[in-house]
Amino acid sequence: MLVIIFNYKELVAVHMADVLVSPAVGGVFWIVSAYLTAKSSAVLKKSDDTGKTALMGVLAAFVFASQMINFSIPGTGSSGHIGGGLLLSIFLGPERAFLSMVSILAVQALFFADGGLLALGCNIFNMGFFPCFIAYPFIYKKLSEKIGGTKGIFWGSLIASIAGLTMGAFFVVLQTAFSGITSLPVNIFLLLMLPIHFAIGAVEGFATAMVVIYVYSKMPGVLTESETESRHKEMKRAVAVFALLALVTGGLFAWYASSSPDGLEWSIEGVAGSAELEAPRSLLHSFSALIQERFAPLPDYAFKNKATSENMGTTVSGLVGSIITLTLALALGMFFRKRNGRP
Amino acid sequence: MRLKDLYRTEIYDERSGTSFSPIVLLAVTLVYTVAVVSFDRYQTFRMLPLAAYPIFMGSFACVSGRDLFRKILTVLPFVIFIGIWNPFFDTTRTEYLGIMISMGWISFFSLILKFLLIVPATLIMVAATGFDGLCRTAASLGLPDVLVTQLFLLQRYIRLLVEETHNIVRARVFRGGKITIANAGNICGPLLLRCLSRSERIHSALMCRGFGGQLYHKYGRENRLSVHDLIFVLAWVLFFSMVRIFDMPIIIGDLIVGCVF
Repeated sequence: MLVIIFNYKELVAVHMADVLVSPAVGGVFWIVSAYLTAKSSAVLKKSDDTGKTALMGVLAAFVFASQMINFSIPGTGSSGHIGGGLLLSIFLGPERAFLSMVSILAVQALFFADGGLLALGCNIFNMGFFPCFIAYPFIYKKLSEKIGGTKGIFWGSLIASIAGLTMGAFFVVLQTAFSGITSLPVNIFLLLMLPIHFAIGAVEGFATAMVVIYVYSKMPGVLTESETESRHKEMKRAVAVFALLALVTGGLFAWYASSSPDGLEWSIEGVAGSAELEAPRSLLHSFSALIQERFAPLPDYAFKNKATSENMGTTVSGLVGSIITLTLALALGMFFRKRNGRP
Repeated sequence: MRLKDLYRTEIYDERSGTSFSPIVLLAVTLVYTVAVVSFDRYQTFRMLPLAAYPIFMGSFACVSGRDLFRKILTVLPFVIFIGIWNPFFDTTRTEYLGIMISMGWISFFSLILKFLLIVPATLIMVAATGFDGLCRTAASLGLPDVLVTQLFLLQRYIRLLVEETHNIVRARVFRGGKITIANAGNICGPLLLRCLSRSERIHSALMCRGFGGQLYHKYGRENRLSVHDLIFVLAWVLFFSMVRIFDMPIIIGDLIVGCVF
């Protein structure tokens, strides 16, 4: 099972795609992320410390590059990589780490189609806000200070990474649910996402701890001088407001999802034993039964004789219309390119 | 994503660019994305005419279709993973193109179609405007200086660090060492230490050149629009609205089919 989880982790990584987000949800999270970005930038501007500008750029590139290395996990046949947001927070402090994450996610969305323009706000919130402003200051810092030394770094990284990733995954479910794109019931989606991200978080936390401990053993000074900005009142207030909002929305959503499995926009009518779906224990049973029984590529696949001619007429018209429009677009593009003096 | 995939940025390298302002391309692509996403989850062929935008821009800006296809393939699995559940949970039957099919398969098809419409459009937009152009436009629109500088630096150092990471991994594999999670510190740690010292060198070099927190100059030309730009925006927004409001494929198809037969 673990092998499957980790081999497919790239598929379920918390990057939201444009197609999974409705304009309203995408817009709301764009505004939230833009606000957090503006606040973080304002805090950095006030601190007027350009000494870490180069460090931010190089460390973001480091996170980008190091996430390409897949460390194998002995005995499982699967792999994992270091966690970006938490590592950046440890070395740069929350505000700089958040802005670095924004830059990484923007490059991923624009260059690698990982995410998208509309979903960028969601991705920044899920992968930037939680690790940098929640997991780092409230979990990593507290734990590493309390336990101290390499043990503190280890437990802090592990737990903060798990917490950050799980919260992000929860918000992926929430954003997809509010967008109403998939028919996947919320509770099943949660059941799919949370355990997987818990496991991925543990691996990322472990890898991050190894790297931070290595650097700590060679250059202990780097970690102690890292963050100074998080004490800023303004930023603290903004973070507190969003954390509270996230908590309330998440809480209401979880309550709603659990109290009415058919809630939001989904209908699981026709799914084998909808009553069974309400209890978490029988959920897995009905889920596996569902896959076994219902895995038919095209249920009731058959051509209807009646009204076929009428429908086929509409289909032909639709296809002809589409092909003509698209051919015209291609021809126009080539025409204007030639007019622009290019081959 | 594999290490070597990062080098697959060919479509941005030999960018011939377009005569349109980056801000115009950014705005039209955003409107286009919203137009595609705003279609109902069971709509399929109705949104197909919207593909005219990426096809037009792709052929206009000479973007290689093969490279686009390769990039799209790397991200397709995630959307399939999310969408493939629709047929299981949305089993209401309906007639579609003369076939009895469950609504879930229609919404799955719709999701994939939306993905295939949006992703190429974004990639073509970046290929046509260039990273530099986009960052300058974003800066002129009010993106904080610190973030713009960060984006410029990140873009410059990604390749360098990927190359270094690649060398470390190769060296370790050649010596017969394993890349396991327990060795994460020994593999990434030295690289991180080198990054820290590199950033100090970069900072000193920047300071020597009079760095004051901003890596670029604002020319004030970024937001200047020509008549061509305005016509481009208006034409596309009009087209997107028409596709959104009317069933264009049927209207054009009926017209042609009616004329021919």
